[in-house]
Amino acid sequence: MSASKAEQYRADVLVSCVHDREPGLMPALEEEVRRRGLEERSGSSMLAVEVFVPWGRCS
Amino acid sequence: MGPVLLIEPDGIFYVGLKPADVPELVEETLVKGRVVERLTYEEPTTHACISYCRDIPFYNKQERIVLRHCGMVNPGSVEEYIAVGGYQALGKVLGTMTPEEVIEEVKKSGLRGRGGAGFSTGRKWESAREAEGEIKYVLTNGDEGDPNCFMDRALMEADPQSILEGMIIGAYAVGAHQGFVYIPFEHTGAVRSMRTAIEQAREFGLLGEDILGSGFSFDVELRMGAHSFVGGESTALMHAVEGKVSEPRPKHVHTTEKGLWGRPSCLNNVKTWNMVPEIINRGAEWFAGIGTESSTGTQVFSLAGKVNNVGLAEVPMGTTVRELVFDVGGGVPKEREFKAIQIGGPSGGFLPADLLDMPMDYETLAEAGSMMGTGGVVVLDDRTCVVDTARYFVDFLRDESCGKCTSCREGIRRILEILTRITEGKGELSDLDVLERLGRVVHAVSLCGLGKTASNPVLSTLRYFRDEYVAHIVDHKCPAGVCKALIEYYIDEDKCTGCGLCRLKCPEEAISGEKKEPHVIDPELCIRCGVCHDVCRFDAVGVR
Repeated sequence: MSASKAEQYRADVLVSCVHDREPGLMPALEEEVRRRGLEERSGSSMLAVEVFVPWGRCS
Repeated sequence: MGPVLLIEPDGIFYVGLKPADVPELVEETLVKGRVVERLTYEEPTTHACISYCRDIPFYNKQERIVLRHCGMVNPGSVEEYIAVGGYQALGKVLGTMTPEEVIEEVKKSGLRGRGGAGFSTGRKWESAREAEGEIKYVLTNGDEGDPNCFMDRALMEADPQSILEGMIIGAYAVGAHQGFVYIPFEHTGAVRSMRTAIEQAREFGLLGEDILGSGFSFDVELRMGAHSFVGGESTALMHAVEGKVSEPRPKHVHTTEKGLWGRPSCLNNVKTWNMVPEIINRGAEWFAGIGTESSTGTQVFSLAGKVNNVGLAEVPMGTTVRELVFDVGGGVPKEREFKAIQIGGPSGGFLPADLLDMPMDYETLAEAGSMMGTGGVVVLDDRTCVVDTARYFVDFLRDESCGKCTSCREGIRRILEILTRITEGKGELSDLDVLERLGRVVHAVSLCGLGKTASNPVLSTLRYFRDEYVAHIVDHKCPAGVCKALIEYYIDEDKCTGCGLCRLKCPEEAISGEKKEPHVIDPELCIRCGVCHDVCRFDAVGVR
């Protein structure tokens, strides 16, 4: 899928961790994105970030 | 490389991530739009840092058809699959094509089964369609049994809807209304992913009665069984779906005529089904234009062994061994020398460095004594003993043989005994002739693909590495320094600093020496475990 397609139906920024083999990595990333208010478009944020683990997660 | 992280739309690629890297990654890349160089991929030969996925040879040398959605589409969401064009091919087939036209299109594409045998998919479908019988079945072979291979499992986990779409199209073409997906219990991620996909497809009217209002009805059941290598053989798999022991049967009557419960059945590998929607969407000519004339499309290889970039790599058929190992795979680690490559899984043949420029397609690989198989690849460097490696894979095949055929059950066992003798320095030159004769018999007489290919590791190594066998037998030497009975560890007194690490780590207390003085190994006590060799920081422990 091209980047433009990602923009069409997903968030502005798609963070895709193909192999989640580091316990705690993806939860830490999700928490940091949430803490900074990046997960949804809003007045204060120009970005909508989606954290995505397509091949399953270990944590 | 892993855990890796891809950040779209720019394609920034980070490797070897840890939770502690997260704050910097978010601050620099997501907020400020800057690349964190220390987290980027380092090219193994030039040591250059590469920031973008598209610039990494492992990825940009690939042509991803089978893996087109992997890592991009949420496997748990049929909506996402539809959003990237999923089920358009099914709509086209059910709305505008007859079953015969579908079969013709697949035949024109030149698609061959990706499960190992490489039979024409279109001809298989045609045979199942023409077979007599009201009730017909289609099946997905998800029983991936090769050690170190995970193409099918990864695909079922990452893109299950594409497999289902291919199955539905295939069912329409052959006239089946019931399908089965067979997966080993142990592949829990694949089972979970396929189960969810089937449930969602039903909810969306993509499985069940009157699919997309076409009048065509079809449903799929998930079947699970114990994992085994021979269980992936078509008749063995059908036995497993029927609830019987997973053993092959003679195929004088093809499964397309009498397969599951004696009905015409069409079984394809998960990768084969996955390619079908793309062929329908983009046309047979597009697919036939990729690869070689007789081996069209791409192949997913599972790269393993002594290669820098391990993992799944999808390249056009006809790609050379050199391109796969050195361009995509990044070459052999630690600047060691490439020695051989085994292609096709545990029963694939070994090819030497002389054949690095050989194109990998079904015919060329078979002529060279190897095979495409499901695409399992193991790279060997100059420190790997081919006799010992052949013995290892023959041991695996002996373990996995169902034992039904005497030739396979006993033949593989005898081959293993001889190979073991040779690696222990007890072989005789006449053993080589016996190995060749046994290998030919096992190939000729065995019933299924396991037996027919089981002697490939030994026959191919005898063909290309006979000198190494002779060195084991005549000189009682293992040139690669692997076979324990034929090697001796020693300490180079000019290099040894007397740090004492090897002495501390030796489990048999076979090493002695004063601090800051060269140490020595007692060959009588040494069990040749190699720990001293591995721990020495001064390259002072050698093998002879």
